Amino acid sequence: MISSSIRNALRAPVAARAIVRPTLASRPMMMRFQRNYSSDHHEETFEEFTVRYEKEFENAYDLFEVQRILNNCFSYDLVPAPVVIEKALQACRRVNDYPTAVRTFEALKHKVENNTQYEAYLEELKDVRKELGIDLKEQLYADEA
Amino acid sequence: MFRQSVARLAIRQQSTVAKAAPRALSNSYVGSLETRWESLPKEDQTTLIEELKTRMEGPWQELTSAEKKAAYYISFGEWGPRRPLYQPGDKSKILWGTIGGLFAGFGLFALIRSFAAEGPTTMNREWQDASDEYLKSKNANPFTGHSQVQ
Repeated sequence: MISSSIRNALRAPVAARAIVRPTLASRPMMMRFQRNYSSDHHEETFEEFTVRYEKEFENAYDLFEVQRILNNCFSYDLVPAPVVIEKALQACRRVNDYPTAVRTFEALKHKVENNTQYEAYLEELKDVRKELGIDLKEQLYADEA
Repeated sequence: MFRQSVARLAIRQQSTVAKAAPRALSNSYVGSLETRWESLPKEDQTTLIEELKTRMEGPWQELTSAEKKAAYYISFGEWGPRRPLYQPGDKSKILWGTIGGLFAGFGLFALIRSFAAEGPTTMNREWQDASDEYLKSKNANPFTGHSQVQ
């Protein structure tokens, strides 16, 4: 009597385990599959993009690097935020390359959808342009066009 | 006194700050680079690039318009790998060249054909009519006709 109840008490947890996880117990060798779909990745938001490129431009140490980052920055299906452009211009100033600064605005003009947006960008970046003394290509070649 | 000034000169010579070109490069030196850049000797190009680089180390407001244009032209101007595939006027040249070539080809063909031998004697109307007469006399091919006229 006593021995049987002790036996029951000992067996109880084993039985409970068997009830709770029957599938794992019956198929112990089953492998877990993981598929690496491209959609599994986190999609970068515009804000994250902005922060990332601000940082990249801050860390750019030579002209090649600045131009490489500019190239990457303008390769997305978006127009970089004015803060990013400002960082880019400051990076151009740091590596002392005037033409790249002019080219940045040219790229911006190419990238925006219409002239109104370009004007808005110019308005937004007016101060930094004045501070660094950057002309637009239109201004540089105004007398020839 | 003298030694001091010599020392000061030496410091200035070796410092990287004092070397920045204080004077603007003259307009005739950097101006209208578009027309003569590629014919410039390699050493002159290098010196000009170096001088512009030193100028660009200073504030950009002090750059003259000619310097800015020259720097822009050297970096992103239409020369070397950036030269456009077609210069202005190239496209009409291609168009007229193609049309001219086409007509020249037709002309050459006509010229050669004019020296060609006569066609075969059976290819004229009289011969073929005579053939028809003959075939008719022989009751040739009553089902689909026997005409030899081409």
